[in-house]
Amino acid sequence: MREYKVNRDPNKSKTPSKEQIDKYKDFGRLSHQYDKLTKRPKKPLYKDPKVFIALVLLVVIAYLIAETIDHSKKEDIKQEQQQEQQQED
Amino acid sequence: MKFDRPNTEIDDRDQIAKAKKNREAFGPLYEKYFERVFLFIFKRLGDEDTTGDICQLVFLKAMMNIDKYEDRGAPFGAWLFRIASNELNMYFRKSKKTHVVEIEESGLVHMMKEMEVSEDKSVEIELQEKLIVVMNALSPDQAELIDLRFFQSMSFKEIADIYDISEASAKMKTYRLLEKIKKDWF
Repeated sequence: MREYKVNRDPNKSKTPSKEQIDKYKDFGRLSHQYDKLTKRPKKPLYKDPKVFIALVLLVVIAYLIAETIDHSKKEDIKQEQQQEQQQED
Repeated sequence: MKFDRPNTEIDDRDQIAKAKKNREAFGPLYEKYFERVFLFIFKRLGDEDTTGDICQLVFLKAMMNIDKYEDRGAPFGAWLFRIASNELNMYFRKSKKTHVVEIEESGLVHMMKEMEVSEDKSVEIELQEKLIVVMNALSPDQAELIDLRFFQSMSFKEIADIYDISEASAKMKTYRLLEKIKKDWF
């Protein structure tokens, strides 16, 4: 939201001076922000102990989930086979 | 407010080509345009610290997207102003704060002159305040056009370069908007 207000005193300009503007000028900070956003971290993620543990945990959880699904599928197939055999008998 | 002087455009082209290869070469462009972009934002926002933050963001986006910049005849400054305009509009959409923007009376008188209001009437404070009420109700896009033309004193060519439209379209858009404002005003 913006609201206009008329400055009726031309001597009282709110426009910042060159010196005031220069306070905000910092190419070093801009370059740093640019690097932070674009450059890959120097240390690979897996070399960070916390990230490494998180990755290992993720792999273990994924393995356990896959095993559980696999196991329940095998159980289902076994049950189906048993039912088929019972029907044939 | 001027984007470029003709003799500096060649320098810009050269510097942009260098900046596309090596981002550190963006420095001279930053130095050259920082003040103009800062004032462009400040005149629409009226808050120095927020202007500093948005200005930095504008240059960061420009630095990141300089590969996409194509020289299609418009000055490099117009491209930066376009980014600044988008950032400002995004900021206004997100911000819940009301920003009081101080405008010069001379800009308001110029605007009234374009609406064919007599000189005697244009200095009447009551009429000016009534016009301010109408201007406060403008959409962000409409307000931007009025700001650029009357409070940042841009030519139609400069406005056209920012919006990537023809000069005639910029002129037509402005006068249509002035007609609408005049209708709501009286």
